[in-house]
Amino acid sequence: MSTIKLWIDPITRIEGHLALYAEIDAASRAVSKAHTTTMMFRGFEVFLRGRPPEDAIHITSRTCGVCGAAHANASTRACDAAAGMTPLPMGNVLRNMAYAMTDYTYDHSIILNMLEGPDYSEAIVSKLTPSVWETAKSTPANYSSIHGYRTIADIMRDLNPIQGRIWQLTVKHQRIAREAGVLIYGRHSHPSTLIPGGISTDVTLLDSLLQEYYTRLSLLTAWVKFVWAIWQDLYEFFRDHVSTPDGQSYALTQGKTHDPPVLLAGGWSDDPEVYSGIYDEAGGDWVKLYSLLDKAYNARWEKPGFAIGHEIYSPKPTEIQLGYLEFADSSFYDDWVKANVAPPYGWLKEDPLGRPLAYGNDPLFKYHMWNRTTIPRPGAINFAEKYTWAAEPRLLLKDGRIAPIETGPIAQLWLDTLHATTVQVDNHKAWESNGSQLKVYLPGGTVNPDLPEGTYGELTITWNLPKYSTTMERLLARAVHLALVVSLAWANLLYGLKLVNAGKTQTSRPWSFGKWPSFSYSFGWWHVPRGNCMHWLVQQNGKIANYQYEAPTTPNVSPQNSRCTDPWKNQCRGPFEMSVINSKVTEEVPPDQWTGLDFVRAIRSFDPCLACAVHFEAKGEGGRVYNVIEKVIWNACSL
Amino acid sequence: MERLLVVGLGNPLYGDDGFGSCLAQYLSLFNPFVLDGDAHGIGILGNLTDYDILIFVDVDARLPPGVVAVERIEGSLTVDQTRLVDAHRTPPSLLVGYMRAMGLNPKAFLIAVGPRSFEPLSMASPEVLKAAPAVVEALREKLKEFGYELRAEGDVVKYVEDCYRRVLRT
Repeated sequence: MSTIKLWIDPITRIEGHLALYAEIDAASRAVSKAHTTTMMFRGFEVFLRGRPPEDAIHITSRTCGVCGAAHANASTRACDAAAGMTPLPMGNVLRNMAYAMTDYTYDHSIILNMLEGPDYSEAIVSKLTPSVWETAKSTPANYSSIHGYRTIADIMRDLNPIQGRIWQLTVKHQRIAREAGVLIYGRHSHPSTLIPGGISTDVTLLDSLLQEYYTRLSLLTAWVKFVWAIWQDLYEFFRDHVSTPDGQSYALTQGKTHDPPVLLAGGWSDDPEVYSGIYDEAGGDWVKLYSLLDKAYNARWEKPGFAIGHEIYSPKPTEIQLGYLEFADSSFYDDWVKANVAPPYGWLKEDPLGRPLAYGNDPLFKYHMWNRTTIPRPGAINFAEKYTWAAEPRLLLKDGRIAPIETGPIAQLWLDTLHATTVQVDNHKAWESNGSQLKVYLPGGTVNPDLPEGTYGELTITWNLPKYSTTMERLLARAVHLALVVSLAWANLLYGLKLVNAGKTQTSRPWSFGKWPSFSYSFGWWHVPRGNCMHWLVQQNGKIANYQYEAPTTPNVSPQNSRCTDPWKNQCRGPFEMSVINSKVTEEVPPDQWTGLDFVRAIRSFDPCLACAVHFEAKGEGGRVYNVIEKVIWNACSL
Repeated sequence: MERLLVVGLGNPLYGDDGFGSCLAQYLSLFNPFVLDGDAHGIGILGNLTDYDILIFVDVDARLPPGVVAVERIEGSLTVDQTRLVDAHRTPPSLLVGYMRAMGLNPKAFLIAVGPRSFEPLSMASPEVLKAAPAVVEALREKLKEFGYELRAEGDVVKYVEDCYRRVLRT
């Protein structure tokens, strides 16, 4: 049988630069080999050392032109913990309200409808899979009463890029979401108001700010009902009417990742009172505050944890992170442990509470993020050795097993569901779960003149915990999560109004420049549209001694290595590569014309972000040196 | 009355390039239909789609330094050509071309001034600063054609200079 070799470089409609190499058996259409590679060195960790910790909030934000607020927020939590300060309740509400808009409502919308949506548009489906297009034309939509489309083909037609109505409505509504966030952040995509222990938003006219936010939130609530209904319909169509070449349901099998699934979520939307209260409880002692972080993270209005299959391994971030390791076996870095390059403060062996990193495993504790030193070592791509700038995060478990990691909206909903809990503010129940099912509640009375009246009423969305993470499950999860974050925006707005009525409008603790313990270290996790954003900070006397972070995509884009143990020993690679290996080609054109549609669908469903920020080089000019942007690669930085 | 938006474009970190942005900041103090488009590139697209008339304020490197011109933006892109737009560098012509590919057809104009320099981290050139009142007058005349009145108070040149100083922290 002949083998088809596909190089897709670059994969478009993602953020940054990613390439895929795959080998496919032409007869069975199955993938025998898959590797993804990223070509850009980020390097922020190198130049962050020596700077004030609070600068990291604004510097790491520049990692990405789409999800800058993701890094800014993770960094802010790391700074909160290292400073021993958290905001007052109104500060937490404002942080949450802003993030619900930018990035979530803005980013999920463009990912679904503008970056992933074209893969399910008439333009692509009718060209590469004409039989699916024919089926779509005769398949009635199940959620017409909300989105107004009669058939699945009608939805696909409006997903056509540039000219399709859904595409154009997304241009408009992503703007509205950004406006709502900017009311609090000052600007997008790099918030200017996030500070340790608070937020510097001017609240002189807070009533007006909340009103401006409310008008946009109302429009966007109708919008997320519209978007969810579209993707629920597409999911059901690909589940019930589209098959893979071996007769399996497309939605339930294509792009499957690990078995058993390994899903990590950080949670987000700090509980206004609990996150504020841990400062009072700790009394300014950063170690004491660290001991209260699990309580604060688990009080978040979306829940943290690491799940293996349908079981929570641990809901406690301080415990999970003890085993969070990163390797450089297959990536373009020197192994700092083998080179015996310790961080400036020597090898850290314990967390602030005295618990051994990597559960005392030597040398694995040196691969913990507090001990990492970034040493770039560029080289040629060699799939047998090193082939990417993406490093290899793995999770060491208490029992000694080592697992790969997947993250994203599906991971967040997965953990929310397994927590079996309810999030409610007064009469507004935002969501509830029971261990196998999650329900999201959206309010009615949300008139939006651009959308059908079916989006104006109350809506309850039900999400069933899937067995696996697949391409379509990830897309559906993103659409459900879009609705969930908007429901949480309402919860935060209501809580903010309560605080206003009670006269509690102060936002921040008295942090000021230079106000840092002589030595402290911490981490900050914040779940974002692309996954869990994770920052680790070590500071000495108000200067960064070491700063390491995982972009939300880092675990997902991990290359292959041999660090994992059973049951993942033969699945020791990130979800991108796994999802391609578990995809079959469904294109109805001759093999020499295959485009890799199923593979890019699988990868785009994660909303990859390869960090486009550092593609510049220093050039001499007129006797001075500037940083000159040499080339801007086509990416998703603006839309 | 047709829906109209004035959009100033540019990045004050790059010398004369930021003139449109700074001027729009000034004019937006007095006129609700003026928007500072900054250097958002194609990210500004979502702000433009609801209008019948768009008037951009930007530099045009084809003009001699300080020369002011009123230009009509014509032409369009095909859907395929939109793939070639650089998301970060999107002049008014490409923004309007993009909108026409979307099936929209606004009347579009550019009040342009010729730049002297795009030197990073430098103040707008004397030629461009001196042209600021003429740009305001040209805009006022164009707006009159569509029944809009432009309001402005104070010293426009000083405001634009101050705008650069805020950005450059000088």
